[in-house]
Amino acid sequence: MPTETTETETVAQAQKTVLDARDVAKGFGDGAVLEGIDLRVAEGELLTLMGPNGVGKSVLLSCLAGSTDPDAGTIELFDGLSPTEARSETSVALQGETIDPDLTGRENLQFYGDLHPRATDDWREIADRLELTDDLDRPAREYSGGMARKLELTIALTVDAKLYLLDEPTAELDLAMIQTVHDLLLEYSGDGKTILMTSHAPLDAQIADRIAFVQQGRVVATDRPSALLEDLPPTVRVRGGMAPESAFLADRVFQRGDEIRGFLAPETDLETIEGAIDSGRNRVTVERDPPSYTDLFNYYTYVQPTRDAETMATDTESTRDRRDATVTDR
Amino acid sequence: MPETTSRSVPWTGQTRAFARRHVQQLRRNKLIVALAVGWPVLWYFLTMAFFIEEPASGQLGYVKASNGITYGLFGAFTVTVAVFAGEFARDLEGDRYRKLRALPVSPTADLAGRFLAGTALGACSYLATILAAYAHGGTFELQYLGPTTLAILALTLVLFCAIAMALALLLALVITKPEHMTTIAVVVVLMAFYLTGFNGTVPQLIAEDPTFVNYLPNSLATRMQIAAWAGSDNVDFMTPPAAPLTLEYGALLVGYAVGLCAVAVAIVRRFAYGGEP
Repeated sequence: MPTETTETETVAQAQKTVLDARDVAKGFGDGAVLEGIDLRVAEGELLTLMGPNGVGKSVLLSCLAGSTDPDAGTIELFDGLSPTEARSETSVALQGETIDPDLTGRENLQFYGDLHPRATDDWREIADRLELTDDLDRPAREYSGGMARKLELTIALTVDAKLYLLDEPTAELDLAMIQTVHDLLLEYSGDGKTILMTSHAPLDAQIADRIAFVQQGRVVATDRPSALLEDLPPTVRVRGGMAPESAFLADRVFQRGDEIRGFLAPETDLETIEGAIDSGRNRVTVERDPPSYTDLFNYYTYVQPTRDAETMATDTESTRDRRDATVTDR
Repeated sequence: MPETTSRSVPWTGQTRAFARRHVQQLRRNKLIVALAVGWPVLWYFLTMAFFIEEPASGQLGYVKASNGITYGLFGAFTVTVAVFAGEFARDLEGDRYRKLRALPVSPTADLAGRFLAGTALGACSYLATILAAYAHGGTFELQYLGPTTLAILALTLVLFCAIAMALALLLALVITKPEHMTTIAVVVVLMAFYLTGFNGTVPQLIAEDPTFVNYLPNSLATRMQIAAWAGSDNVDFMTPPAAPLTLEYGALLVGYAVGLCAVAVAIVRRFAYGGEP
């Protein structure tokens, strides 16, 4: 499992570190959201922080941006600056109602541009590419969710920052626009800019130099996308029949179109799965399939947490058995 | 050593950005524009029509001028409270401060920008009411206004708006629903207006000792301004207590403004830029 420091991470460490977060914790009321996040981002890297909704990606980004104070841990940017001290070198697109609905898109751009010392005039080109120019003189309260997202992204990318912190930049965008945003981010990355973006869309994994998966308030895996894909358990594709969940790793299967996908458990093989399927009169195919980014996301979001819980339960049971045995011996 | 040094847009530039933003917001808010101009002018004419008896010959122009000043300040107070409280509550309720905290922004520049925009609107409201009273036949005798009087008029107006701004921020912390803020602000201002005998201009309305009208900020500023404009010998209609035209009263008003502005700065630092989501 790629949860420890990997070869790619070692390479990243050898490069200049732009962001170094250690043991960052944050909670609200009685609930802990971040429970000791460790994350390092190298200069020029495009890192995608992935995980399902509610695991604390946005809270972490707020902490890194200086918008929220963590309860514990340290965050250093650019060799020793706190997030607050580094604000002039970062540019942030946070989720939510950050744009002012009472202003037009253009006035929002002007307002936020006037407040950042590294703002540029590039907003025209970015707004053009995001197909926002024709709507810039409309009040932002009339914008759809996707248009608001594009405006927030334009505001953030207009700044000539060293580090971009982008919270779900492709949320609510159509596929063509997601491609445009990916192209923009790859250009920024190509120019040596460092980008940390969050996402729960597997599509966003494809542009990442590195992916970090967040689960239950911690980073549970981080590596190059190709390395993470290679480390996945074998992916199985079933067509023509309903496969029982119990035949797969962590008792989980995932529907994708007309097929069912899951991960092969160590003690199982394809024949066993095929035998467990009630095929009726259908022709059933059970085969291995190269993993996709969706498989990767599903694994770290749904399968691995179950496996971790099972492992923990087994460990607890073993410890209790050993303790009981010791008591009996005495 | 870090290679990157912290820098930001100059404070004045930040203040300008916040002020422009609020002016842009206000320009589109028809309710606020109506409140700024229509509300105090309406009250002026209603008062003249229903509450003022025919005064002695030659005095009507002065009564109209006095009411123009009273409702001018009333309008300035209303829009400043409504605008400040509403916009601050909206920014707190939305996620604007999450974004602003991630920018190298000075909380005092934010506050100063809001204050400039609020004072500009308050001044528009004030002047619109004075103009209405003038057009209605109010006797303002502008030719007799010296620099000292003009300074007192400007200072009392600005201090009045500063006090209104600070009170508005306190109000925004208590009432967290921005959509109710304008209504609540108007109610609060009306209560202050009536409980101090029309901002101290009709202290006879107060059953007990009305001396306190020289010590509460809204009535003190209004009485000081009318006395400065008309001269302390010509304001018998609002005495006793005596017109507050001494330095001590000026210092008290400045003290209110400074103290409440300090509270406003503390509120913005703590609740808007304090680092909590």
